[in-house]
Amino acid sequence: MQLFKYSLVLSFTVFLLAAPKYVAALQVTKGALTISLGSEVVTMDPHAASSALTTTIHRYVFDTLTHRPKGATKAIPWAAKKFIQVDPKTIDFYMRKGVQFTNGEDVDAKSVQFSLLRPRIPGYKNVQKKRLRSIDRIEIKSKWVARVILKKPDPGIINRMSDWGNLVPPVYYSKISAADAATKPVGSGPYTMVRWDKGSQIVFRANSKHWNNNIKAIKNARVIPIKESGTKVAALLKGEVQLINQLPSQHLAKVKKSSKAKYKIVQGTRIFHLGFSHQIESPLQNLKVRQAIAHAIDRETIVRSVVDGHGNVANQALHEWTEGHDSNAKWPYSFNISRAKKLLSEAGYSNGLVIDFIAPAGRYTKDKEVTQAIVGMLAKANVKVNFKPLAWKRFVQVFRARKKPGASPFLYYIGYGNGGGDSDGALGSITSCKGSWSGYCNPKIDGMLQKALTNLNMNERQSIFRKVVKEMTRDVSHVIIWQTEFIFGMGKNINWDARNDGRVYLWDISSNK
Amino acid sequence: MIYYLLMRLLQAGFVLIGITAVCFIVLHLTGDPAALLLPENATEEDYDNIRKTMGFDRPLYIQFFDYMKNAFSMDFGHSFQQNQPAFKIVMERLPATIELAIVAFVIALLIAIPVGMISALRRGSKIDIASTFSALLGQSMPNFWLGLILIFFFSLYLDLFPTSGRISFGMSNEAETKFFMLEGIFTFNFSLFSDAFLHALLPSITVGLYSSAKLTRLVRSSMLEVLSEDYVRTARAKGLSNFTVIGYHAFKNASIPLVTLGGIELGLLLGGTVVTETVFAWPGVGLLTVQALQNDDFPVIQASVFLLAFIFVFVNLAVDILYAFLDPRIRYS
Repeated sequence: MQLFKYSLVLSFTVFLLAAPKYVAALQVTKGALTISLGSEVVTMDPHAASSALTTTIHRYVFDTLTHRPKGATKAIPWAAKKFIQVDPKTIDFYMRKGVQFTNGEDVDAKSVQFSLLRPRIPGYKNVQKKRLRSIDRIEIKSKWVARVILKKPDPGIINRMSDWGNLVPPVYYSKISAADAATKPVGSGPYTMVRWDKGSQIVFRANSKHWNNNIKAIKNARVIPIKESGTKVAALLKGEVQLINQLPSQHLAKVKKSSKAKYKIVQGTRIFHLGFSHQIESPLQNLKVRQAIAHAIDRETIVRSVVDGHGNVANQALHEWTEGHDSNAKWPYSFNISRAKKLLSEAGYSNGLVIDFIAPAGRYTKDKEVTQAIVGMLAKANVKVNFKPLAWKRFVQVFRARKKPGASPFLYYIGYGNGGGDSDGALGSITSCKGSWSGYCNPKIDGMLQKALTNLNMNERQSIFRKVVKEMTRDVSHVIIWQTEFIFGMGKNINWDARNDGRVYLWDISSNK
Repeated sequence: MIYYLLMRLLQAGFVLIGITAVCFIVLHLTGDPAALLLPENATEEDYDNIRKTMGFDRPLYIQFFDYMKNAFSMDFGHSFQQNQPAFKIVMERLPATIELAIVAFVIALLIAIPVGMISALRRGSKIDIASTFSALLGQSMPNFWLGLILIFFFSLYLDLFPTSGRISFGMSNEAETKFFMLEGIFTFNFSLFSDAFLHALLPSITVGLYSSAKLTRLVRSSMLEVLSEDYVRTARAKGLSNFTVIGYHAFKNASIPLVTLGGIELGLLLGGTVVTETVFAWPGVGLLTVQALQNDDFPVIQASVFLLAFIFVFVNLAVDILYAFLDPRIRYS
């Protein structure tokens, strides 16, 4: 018993002595802006990963040739002072004279050539190759002018260069190992990476030599991974973190009451839809069946009740900040259970039908809740589903297996972000016969997309994309459901105009202190 | 004793080899690793390139032998995602797991031993009922719920502790190793120690409470058994103080099952507590392993499994050796 008492006294003493030191240490964090974007980057090799998070963080350290400002459909020059479309297959990039990487190498035409072609190095594991695959070769016109020659016209490549093809110093990246490329980044971006404690933090410091003198409001910053949303919110309310993404809507009232934090809501770019495995023989190949399923989904209720109003009903697959968006687009399949049953009956399924339904669980905002709601709605229309909520990797495996012989037909739920404003990529991905996220195949749509892909006339492209969207709607290639909102939490003293694509760029943030 | 130790070491070696082999086989049963690494619209040439680069084009039995040969030198290949040696990635996370496990274990013992002993001494009393109830509660409460409650109450409401992470930003520049608490103690850097300790306290309590529940019940039942033994009666009859009778004679013998279960608990704690690590953003091995599983990062999975198996096997070996010191009746031949 005495030993127990001594232990208690000792513990209390340690605590009393320790507490002031902790508070003092906390003061030090006030010297750096701390943000949490959920997960952690897996690599600082700018050409080796493609998630939205990684792409965002890489932009802190590595400049790209172009940049898409908030709300813009088209990218503007960024690391390049200007670019000129010489002809449909040739673009000249004029680099800023005298700008250097942080190791002293010039950000010149050679670095552009090296950086854009680096993803093609044989054996180099990366996903950026396909994003820049239209590039045939790059010529050095002069020290500061790089000529990019395409295999065929690619109007979307300027936008894609705002995310991909980050500029790296050729000499440095030619010599270092893959392991060092992943952890010792050297770029010419607005920030340099000071340290990376895996699993804990990445620390950045403003690059005093960056060409853009207007974007150095935040001198020191760190990004910490906090996956659990409750913990992230607690850190925000306590002041340990000054900006978080994916603030759950159930915490908004708490944040509103807080003296240290506030929140910001913006319309997001991710659009969720129900897809069909059109290419597998099944009732889903019948247009009336797809129309019936479309009529069975109460999209307004999903937005109002399931996602608590933090989203909007969507009428098309293209969001407002990408080419081809039609603000007048209509969705002709209103929620109507009787109509749904009638269509099913006309299709020969008066007794209903049974089909698999796969959906990712825990990947998107309220995906479990939304898909559960869809299951219930379909059941009312006599479409019974074998519902399979899957972890993301498993969902990808099952989805990819759709083209294997003997695959079972299924419905699927997914959200496509298109944060980069690449309408070719977005529509191609979800609708074309070879699209990564497409269960659909319509040669007419594929033909239209091919035309748009090589057409530099913006108005014509706009017209083609709208025709594609109309055809998708007519043929019920997908049931377009809702478009998300992004909710960010931030410190009361933080000034930040949240972007619709959800990207958090350090140089957009400033503080009142 | 030496013979026993050697035999146990040999056994441990075979166990590790077996686990390593099973891990390789099971992972490769999940599908073509190249397909997991490449996007869907990768060309056949892309597949061929990646298979050649990663060695997946070799017959499986050759891949297996190479893998086992490299495993002996702790070379599990490079992470598919991070391009770093997989074992190095896992080892970077180990200090965080060790510190959390040790603090949680100490908390568990600090609760279990006194509460279990008091419960046994006051059998049937209100204290006994309360401690049994608490033990049941401790084992029933979900870790993630408890963790969040502790954060919201002690961090946010009372502002006593940090919400997450291992160390404050300013302190991280002072530390030279990843063993923040140990470094703080041995270098007399009290700021470092206290900062790291305060960060570890809430996650350790979250994990420790669960372990303490099991250990408390064990201490209680062991003490009840021992207190009725003749030698305890003799010790009392000799006029020894209550503290000596209970704390030395009784507890020493009651602690043998505690050492067994405690060793298992410590092994489990060192295996990483994924849920707690997620809630508190604690950069440990458990969270890393789960992330590697989600990303099909085979080398990291294999390195993690090997390391966790290694820790578990050797903790159990240490427990067995400790027996001999606690109980002279146990002799290994």
